[in-house]
Amino acid sequence: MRLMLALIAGAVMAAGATAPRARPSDPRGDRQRPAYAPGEVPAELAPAVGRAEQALQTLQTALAGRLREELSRNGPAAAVKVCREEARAITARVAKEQGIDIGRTSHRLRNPGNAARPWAEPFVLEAAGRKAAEVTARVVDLGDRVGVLRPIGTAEMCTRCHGQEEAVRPAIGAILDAAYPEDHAIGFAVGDLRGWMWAEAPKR
Amino acid sequence: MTRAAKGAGAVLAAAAVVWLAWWLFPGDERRIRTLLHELARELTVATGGEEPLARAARAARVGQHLSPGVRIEGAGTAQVLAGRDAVVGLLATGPPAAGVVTVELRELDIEVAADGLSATVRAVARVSRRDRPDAPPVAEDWPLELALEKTDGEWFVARVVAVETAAGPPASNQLDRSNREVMHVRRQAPRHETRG
Repeated sequence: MRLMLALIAGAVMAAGATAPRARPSDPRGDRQRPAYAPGEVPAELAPAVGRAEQALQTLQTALAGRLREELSRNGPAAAVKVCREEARAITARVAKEQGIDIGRTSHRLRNPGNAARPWAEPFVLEAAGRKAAEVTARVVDLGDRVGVLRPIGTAEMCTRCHGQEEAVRPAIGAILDAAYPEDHAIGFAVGDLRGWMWAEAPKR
Repeated sequence: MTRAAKGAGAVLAAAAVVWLAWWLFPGDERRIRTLLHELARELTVATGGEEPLARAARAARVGQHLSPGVRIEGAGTAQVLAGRDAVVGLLATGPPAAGVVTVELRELDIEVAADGLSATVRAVARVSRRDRPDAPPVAEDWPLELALEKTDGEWFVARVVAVETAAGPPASNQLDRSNREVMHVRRQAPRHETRG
Protein backbone atom coordinates (compact mmCIF):
# COMPACT_ATOMS: atom_id res chain seq x y z
CA MET A 1 0.00 0.00 0.00
CA ARG A 2 2.74 2.44 0.88
CA LEU A 3 4.47 1.98 -2.43
CA MET A 4 1.71 3.87 -4.13
CA LEU A 5 2.40 6.77 -1.86
CA ALA A 6 5.74 7.29 -3.51
CA LEU A 7 4.12 7.27 -6.89
CA ILE A 8 1.20 9.45 -6.30
CA ALA A 9 2.54 11.60 -3.62
CA GLY A 10 0.58 10.95 -0.55
CA ALA A 11 -2.44 12.48 -2.17
CA VAL A 12 -3.48 8.87 -2.30
CA MET A 13 -2.51 7.73 1.12
CA ALA A 14 -4.29 4.45 0.95
CA ALA A 15 -3.76 3.65 -2.66
CA GLY A 16 -4.97 0.43 -4.13
CA ALA A 17 -8.49 0.93 -2.99
CA THR A 18 -10.72 3.31 -4.82
CA ALA A 19 -12.87 5.61 -2.78
CA PRO A 20 -16.32 4.27 -2.05
CA ARG A 21 -18.72 5.30 -4.75
CA ALA A 22 -20.70 8.25 -3.54
CA ARG A 23 -24.42 8.29 -3.95
CA PRO A 24 -25.78 11.39 -5.54
CA SER A 25 -26.54 13.72 -2.68
CA ASP A 26 -28.75 15.94 -4.69
CA PRO A 27 -30.42 14.66 -7.82
CA ARG A 28 -32.09 17.92 -8.72
CA GLY A 29 -29.77 19.12 -11.47
CA ASP A 30 -32.01 19.37 -14.51
CA ARG A 31 -34.46 17.51 -12.28
CA GLN A 32 -33.22 14.08 -13.32
CA ARG A 33 -29.47 14.17 -13.54
CA PRO A 34 -27.27 12.92 -10.70
CA ALA A 35 -25.57 15.81 -8.90
CA TYR A 36 -22.77 15.74 -6.37
CA ALA A 37 -20.96 17.97 -3.96
CA PRO A 38 -17.28 18.15 -5.01
CA GLY A 39 -16.17 15.86 -2.20
CA GLU A 40 -18.65 13.16 -3.24
CA VAL A 41 -17.75 12.87 -6.90
CA PRO A 42 -17.34 9.24 -8.07
CA ALA A 43 -13.85 8.35 -9.26
CA GLU A 44 -14.99 7.74 -12.82
CA LEU A 45 -16.18 11.33 -13.15
CA ALA A 46 -13.02 12.78 -11.61
CA PRO A 47 -10.93 13.10 -14.81
CA ALA A 48 -13.62 15.18 -16.51
CA VAL A 49 -14.23 17.19 -13.34
CA GLY A 50 -10.51 17.89 -13.12
CA ARG A 51 -10.35 19.12 -16.70
CA ALA A 52 -13.41 21.29 -16.16
CA GLU A 53 -11.92 22.81 -13.01
CA GLN A 54 -8.64 23.45 -14.81
CA ALA A 55 -10.52 25.39 -17.48
CA LEU A 56 -12.39 27.35 -14.82
CA GLN A 57 -9.14 28.21 -13.05
CA THR A 58 -7.66 29.43 -16.32
CA LEU A 59 -10.70 31.57 -17.05
CA GLN A 60 -10.83 32.95 -13.52
CA THR A 61 -7.15 33.84 -13.49
CA ALA A 62 -7.28 35.49 -16.91
CA LEU A 63 -10.47 37.41 -16.25
CA ALA A 64 -9.65 38.53 -12.72
CA GLY A 65 -6.21 39.63 -13.86
CA ARG A 66 -7.57 41.76 -16.69
CA LEU A 67 -10.32 43.26 -14.51
CA ARG A 68 -7.90 44.16 -11.73
CA GLU A 69 -5.52 45.69 -14.23
CA GLU A 70 -8.22 47.71 -15.95
CA LEU A 71 -9.85 48.86 -12.71
CA SER A 72 -6.57 50.13 -11.30
CA ARG A 73 -5.45 51.79 -14.53
CA ASN A 74 -8.62 53.15 -16.08
CA GLY A 75 -11.43 52.69 -13.58
CA PRO A 76 -14.78 50.92 -13.68
CA ALA A 77 -15.86 52.22 -17.09
CA ALA A 78 -12.95 50.39 -18.68
CA ALA A 79 -13.66 47.31 -16.58
CA VAL A 80 -17.19 47.16 -17.98
CA LYS A 81 -15.64 46.96 -21.43
CA VAL A 82 -13.45 44.07 -20.29
CA CYS A 83 -16.50 42.25 -18.96
CA ARG A 84 -18.49 42.93 -22.10
CA GLU A 85 -15.94 42.33 -24.83
CA GLU A 86 -12.83 40.67 -23.52
CA ALA A 87 -14.55 38.20 -21.21
CA ARG A 88 -16.26 36.67 -24.20
CA ALA A 89 -12.97 36.40 -26.07
CA ILE A 90 -11.12 34.98 -23.06
CA THR A 91 -13.92 32.47 -22.51
CA ALA A 92 -13.89 31.42 -26.17
CA ARG A 93 -10.10 31.09 -26.14
CA VAL A 94 -10.03 28.94 -23.02
CA ALA A 95 -12.90 26.84 -24.36
CA LYS A 96 -11.12 26.32 -27.66
CA GLU A 97 -7.74 25.55 -26.09
CA GLN A 98 -9.12 23.02 -23.66
CA GLY A 99 -12.11 21.65 -25.59
CA ILE A 100 -14.43 22.49 -22.75
CA ASP A 101 -17.49 24.72 -22.78
CA ILE A 102 -17.24 27.32 -20.04
CA GLY A 103 -19.01 30.47 -19.02
CA ARG A 104 -20.56 32.52 -16.27
CA THR A 105 -24.11 32.85 -15.13
CA SER A 106 -26.12 34.38 -12.31
CA HIS A 107 -29.56 34.68 -10.80
CA ARG A 108 -29.22 38.40 -11.51
CA LEU A 109 -27.78 38.78 -14.95
CA ARG A 110 -26.07 41.76 -16.41
CA ASN A 111 -25.80 40.16 -19.82
CA PRO A 112 -28.86 38.09 -20.78
CA GLY A 113 -26.59 36.00 -22.99
CA ASN A 114 -25.21 34.46 -19.81
CA ALA A 115 -28.47 32.74 -18.84
CA ALA A 116 -27.92 29.47 -16.99
CA ARG A 117 -27.91 26.23 -18.91
CA PRO A 118 -30.86 23.96 -18.09
CA TRP A 119 -28.78 21.59 -15.93
CA ALA A 120 -27.45 24.52 -13.90
CA GLU A 121 -30.62 26.54 -13.56
CA PRO A 122 -32.11 24.76 -10.52
CA PHE A 123 -28.93 25.34 -8.51
CA VAL A 124 -28.66 28.95 -9.60
CA LEU A 125 -32.24 29.69 -8.62
CA GLU A 126 -32.06 27.81 -5.35
CA ALA A 127 -28.96 29.69 -4.19
CA ALA A 128 -30.23 33.12 -5.25
CA GLY A 129 -29.71 35.76 -2.61
CA ARG A 130 -27.45 33.71 -0.40
CA LYS A 131 -23.94 34.44 0.80
CA ALA A 132 -21.20 32.84 -1.29
CA ALA A 133 -19.76 31.13 1.78
CA GLU A 134 -23.05 29.29 2.29
CA VAL A 135 -23.01 27.79 -1.19
CA THR A 136 -20.87 24.92 -2.47
CA ALA A 137 -19.85 23.95 -5.96
CA ARG A 138 -21.89 21.29 -7.72
CA VAL A 139 -20.94 18.55 -10.14
CA VAL A 140 -23.67 17.21 -12.43
CA ASP A 141 -23.48 14.05 -14.52
CA LEU A 142 -24.75 15.07 -17.95
CA GLY A 143 -24.41 11.69 -19.61
CA ASP A 144 -21.52 12.04 -22.02
CA ARG A 145 -20.32 15.18 -20.23
CA VAL A 146 -19.84 16.46 -16.72
CA GLY A 147 -21.05 19.87 -15.62
CA VAL A 148 -19.25 21.79 -12.91
CA LEU A 149 -20.82 24.83 -11.29
CA ARG A 150 -18.63 26.95 -9.03
CA PRO A 151 -19.92 29.91 -6.98
CA ILE A 152 -18.49 33.38 -7.48
CA GLY A 153 -18.45 35.54 -4.39
CA THR A 154 -18.66 39.31 -4.54
CA ALA A 155 -15.21 40.72 -3.79
CA GLU A 156 -14.35 44.32 -3.00
CA MET A 157 -13.21 44.79 -6.58
CA CYS A 158 -16.59 43.62 -7.92
CA THR A 159 -18.56 46.23 -5.99
CA ARG A 160 -17.21 49.02 -8.13
CA CYS A 161 -19.49 47.80 -10.93
CA HIS A 162 -21.94 45.59 -9.04
CA GLY A 163 -22.23 47.39 -5.69
CA GLN A 164 -24.99 49.57 -4.31
CA GLU A 165 -26.84 51.62 -6.88
CA GLU A 166 -26.01 54.99 -5.32
CA ALA A 167 -22.32 54.22 -5.62
CA VAL A 168 -22.31 52.56 -9.03
CA ARG A 169 -24.77 54.62 -11.05
CA PRO A 170 -22.98 57.98 -10.79
CA ALA A 171 -19.76 56.42 -12.05
CA ILE A 172 -20.93 54.10 -14.82
CA GLY A 173 -24.72 54.36 -15.01
CA ALA A 174 -24.75 55.71 -18.57
CA ILE A 175 -22.32 53.05 -19.76
CA LEU A 176 -24.38 50.29 -18.17
CA ASP A 177 -27.61 51.65 -19.65
CA ALA A 178 -26.07 51.66 -23.11
CA ALA A 179 -24.36 48.28 -22.89
CA TYR A 180 -26.82 46.37 -20.74
CA PRO A 181 -30.36 47.74 -20.98
CA GLU A 182 -31.63 44.72 -19.03
CA ASP A 183 -29.05 44.91 -16.26
CA HIS A 184 -30.05 43.24 -12.99
CA ALA A 185 -26.57 42.98 -11.51
CA ILE A 186 -26.39 45.96 -9.16
CA GLY A 187 -26.83 45.98 -5.40
CA PHE A 188 -24.35 43.30 -4.38
CA ALA A 189 -22.32 43.56 -1.18
CA VAL A 190 -18.99 41.96 -0.39
CA GLY A 191 -19.58 38.28 0.38
CA ASP A 192 -22.84 38.00 -1.56
CA LEU A 193 -23.19 35.25 -4.10
CA ARG A 194 -22.67 37.16 -7.34
CA GLY A 195 -23.12 34.20 -9.65
CA TRP A 196 -21.46 31.06 -10.92
CA MET A 197 -18.77 29.88 -13.25
CA TRP A 198 -19.77 26.77 -15.13
CA ALA A 199 -17.98 24.25 -17.31
CA GLU A 200 -19.02 21.25 -19.32
CA ALA A 201 -16.26 18.73 -20.00
CA PRO A 202 -16.63 15.60 -22.13
CA LYS A 203 -16.11 12.36 -20.26
CA ARG A 204 -14.17 10.92 -23.27
CA MET B 1 37.51 47.96 -31.86
CA THR B 2 40.57 45.84 -31.34
CA ARG B 3 40.99 42.42 -32.87
CA ALA B 4 40.86 40.85 -29.39
CA ALA B 5 37.60 42.59 -28.59
CA LYS B 6 36.14 41.44 -31.90
CA GLY B 7 37.27 37.90 -31.17
CA ALA B 8 35.71 37.97 -27.70
CA GLY B 9 32.51 39.32 -29.18
CA ALA B 10 32.39 36.54 -31.74
CA VAL B 11 32.95 33.90 -29.06
CA LEU B 12 30.20 35.39 -26.90
CA ALA B 13 27.83 35.54 -29.86
CA ALA B 14 28.56 31.91 -30.74
CA ALA B 15 28.01 30.89 -27.12
CA ALA B 16 24.71 32.78 -27.09
CA VAL B 17 23.59 31.02 -30.27
CA VAL B 18 24.51 27.63 -28.82
CA TRP B 19 22.69 28.41 -25.58
CA LEU B 20 19.64 29.65 -27.49
CA ALA B 21 19.56 26.50 -29.61
CA TRP B 22 19.88 24.37 -26.47
CA TRP B 23 17.08 26.30 -24.81
CA LEU B 24 14.76 26.40 -27.83
CA PHE B 25 15.30 22.83 -28.98
CA PRO B 26 15.62 20.65 -25.92
CA GLY B 27 16.76 17.09 -26.43
CA ASP B 28 14.72 14.13 -25.35
CA GLU B 29 16.62 13.69 -22.13
CA ARG B 30 16.02 17.27 -21.03
CA ARG B 31 12.37 17.11 -22.02
CA ILE B 32 11.90 13.96 -19.98
CA ARG B 33 13.70 15.49 -17.02
CA THR B 34 11.47 18.58 -17.22
CA LEU B 35 8.33 16.44 -17.53
CA LEU B 36 9.21 14.34 -14.50
CA HIS B 37 10.01 17.34 -12.32
CA GLU B 38 6.73 18.90 -13.41
CA LEU B 39 4.96 15.69 -12.50
CA ALA B 40 6.58 15.74 -9.07
CA ARG B 41 5.45 19.34 -8.59
CA GLU B 42 1.87 18.42 -9.49
CA LEU B 43 1.96 15.50 -7.06
CA THR B 44 3.00 17.82 -4.28
CA VAL B 45 0.18 18.75 -1.93
CA ALA B 46 1.08 22.29 -1.00
CA THR B 47 -1.52 22.83 1.69
CA GLY B 48 -3.49 20.60 3.98
CA GLY B 49 -7.24 20.55 3.48
CA GLU B 50 -7.02 20.94 -0.27
CA GLU B 51 -10.41 21.69 -1.82
CA PRO B 52 -11.86 18.73 -3.76
CA LEU B 53 -12.15 20.68 -7.03
CA ALA B 54 -8.60 21.98 -6.76
CA ARG B 55 -7.48 18.44 -6.08
CA ALA B 56 -9.37 17.18 -9.13
CA ALA B 57 -7.70 19.83 -11.28
CA ARG B 58 -4.28 18.85 -9.93
CA ALA B 59 -5.06 15.19 -10.65
CA ALA B 60 -6.05 16.14 -14.19
CA ARG B 61 -2.74 17.96 -14.64
CA VAL B 62 -0.93 14.83 -13.49
CA GLY B 63 -2.99 12.86 -16.02
CA GLN B 64 -1.73 15.07 -18.83
CA HIS B 65 1.70 13.48 -18.41
CA LEU B 66 0.46 9.88 -18.40
CA SER B 67 -0.25 7.65 -21.36
CA PRO B 68 -3.83 6.34 -21.54
CA GLY B 69 -2.72 2.81 -20.66
CA VAL B 70 -0.30 3.74 -17.90
CA ARG B 71 0.43 1.06 -15.31
CA ILE B 72 1.62 1.77 -11.81
CA GLU B 73 2.98 -1.25 -10.04
CA GLY B 74 4.40 -2.01 -6.69
CA ALA B 75 7.16 -4.51 -7.24
CA GLY B 76 6.77 -7.66 -5.24
CA THR B 77 3.06 -7.06 -4.79
CA ALA B 78 0.03 -7.74 -6.90
CA GLN B 79 -1.02 -4.12 -6.70
CA VAL B 80 -1.40 -2.56 -10.10
CA LEU B 81 -3.17 0.62 -10.98
CA ALA B 82 -3.97 0.49 -14.67
CA GLY B 83 -5.14 3.30 -16.92
CA ARG B 84 -4.82 7.06 -16.80
CA ASP B 85 -8.40 7.62 -15.74
CA ALA B 86 -7.98 5.20 -12.85
CA VAL B 87 -4.89 7.07 -11.63
CA VAL B 88 -6.55 10.45 -11.99
CA GLY B 89 -9.72 9.16 -10.33
CA LEU B 90 -7.78 7.80 -7.40
CA LEU B 91 -5.73 10.97 -7.01
CA ALA B 92 -8.86 13.08 -7.11
CA THR B 93 -11.14 11.03 -4.91
CA GLY B 94 -8.94 8.81 -2.74
CA PRO B 95 -8.36 9.61 0.91
CA PRO B 96 -6.88 13.11 1.08
CA ALA B 97 -3.46 13.87 2.48
CA ALA B 98 -3.60 14.91 6.11
CA GLY B 99 -1.13 17.73 5.67
CA VAL B 100 1.59 18.91 3.34
CA VAL B 101 3.22 16.33 1.08
CA THR B 102 6.24 17.25 -1.00
CA VAL B 103 7.49 15.07 -3.82
CA GLU B 104 10.94 15.44 -5.35
CA LEU B 105 12.65 13.27 -7.91
CA ARG B 106 16.33 12.68 -7.42
CA GLU B 107 19.14 10.71 -8.98
CA LEU B 108 17.47 10.69 -12.37
CA ASP B 109 19.12 8.27 -14.74
CA ILE B 110 17.53 8.64 -18.17
CA GLU B 111 18.12 6.23 -21.02
CA VAL B 112 16.48 7.07 -24.32
CA ALA B 113 16.10 4.19 -26.77
CA ALA B 114 17.94 4.38 -30.08
CA ASP B 115 14.71 4.96 -32.01
CA GLY B 116 13.92 7.94 -29.76
CA LEU B 117 10.40 6.71 -29.10
CA SER B 118 10.80 5.16 -25.68
CA ALA B 119 12.90 5.74 -22.61
CA THR B 120 13.67 4.15 -19.29
CA VAL B 121 14.25 6.24 -16.20
CA ARG B 122 15.58 5.21 -12.83
CA ALA B 123 15.01 7.70 -10.08
CA VAL B 124 14.45 8.09 -6.40
CA ALA B 125 11.22 9.76 -5.30
CA ARG B 126 11.58 11.56 -2.02
CA VAL B 127 8.19 11.96 -0.38
CA SER B 128 8.18 14.28 2.61
CA ARG B 129 5.08 14.51 4.74
CA ARG B 130 4.18 16.89 7.49
CA ASP B 131 0.82 15.97 8.94
CA ARG B 132 0.63 18.90 11.34
CA PRO B 133 2.41 22.25 11.27
CA ASP B 134 4.10 21.48 14.58
CA ALA B 135 5.12 17.94 13.61
CA PRO B 136 8.52 17.16 12.15
CA PRO B 137 8.48 16.18 8.48
CA VAL B 138 8.90 12.54 7.66
CA ALA B 139 10.75 11.77 4.46
CA GLU B 140 10.91 8.51 2.62
CA ASP B 141 12.94 7.64 -0.45
CA TRP B 142 11.43 5.27 -2.97
CA PRO B 143 13.50 3.91 -5.84
CA LEU B 144 11.42 3.93 -9.01
CA GLU B 145 11.76 2.63 -12.49
CA LEU B 146 9.72 4.38 -15.16
CA ALA B 147 9.03 3.64 -18.79
CA LEU B 148 8.14 6.53 -21.06
CA GLU B 149 6.88 6.60 -24.61
CA LYS B 150 6.78 9.34 -27.16
CA THR B 151 3.51 10.00 -28.97
CA ASP B 152 3.14 12.78 -31.52
CA GLY B 153 6.38 14.28 -30.30
CA GLU B 154 5.33 14.37 -26.64
CA TRP B 155 6.66 12.16 -23.87
CA PHE B 156 4.25 10.32 -21.58
CA VAL B 157 4.81 8.09 -18.60
CA ALA B 158 3.65 4.59 -19.59
CA ARG B 159 4.72 2.54 -16.60
CA VAL B 160 5.97 3.14 -13.10
CA VAL B 161 7.36 0.42 -10.89
CA ALA B 162 8.02 1.22 -7.27
CA VAL B 163 10.92 -0.94 -6.22
CA GLU B 164 10.41 -2.77 -2.96
CA THR B 165 13.31 -3.29 -0.62
CA ALA B 166 14.70 -6.78 -0.33
CA ALA B 167 14.93 -6.65 3.43
CA GLY B 168 11.37 -5.58 4.08
CA PRO B 169 10.53 -2.33 5.77
CA PRO B 170 13.61 -0.29 6.61
CA ALA B 171 14.22 1.08 10.04
CA SER B 172 11.52 3.59 9.49
CA ASN B 173 11.07 6.70 11.54
CA GLN B 174 14.67 6.67 12.68
CA LEU B 175 15.92 10.14 13.28
CA ASP B 176 18.45 10.91 10.63
CA ARG B 177 21.54 12.14 12.43
CA SER B 178 22.56 14.31 9.54
CA ASN B 179 19.36 16.27 9.77
CA ARG B 180 17.54 16.25 13.06
CA GLU B 181 14.66 18.20 11.55
CA VAL B 182 13.76 15.40 9.20
CA MET B 183 12.72 11.87 9.98
CA HIS B 184 14.26 10.25 6.97
CA VAL B 185 14.10 6.72 5.71
CA ARG B 186 16.18 5.51 2.84
CA ARG B 187 14.84 2.50 1.00
CA GLN B 188 17.67 0.54 -0.49
CA ALA B 189 16.94 -1.48 -3.56
CA PRO B 190 19.41 -3.69 -5.33
CA ARG B 191 19.31 -2.89 -9.05
CA HIS B 192 18.74 -6.55 -9.99
CA GLU B 193 15.39 -6.48 -8.27
CA THR B 194 13.90 -3.88 -10.51
CA ARG B 195 11.45 -4.85 -13.17
CA GLY B 196 11.09 -2.89 -16.24
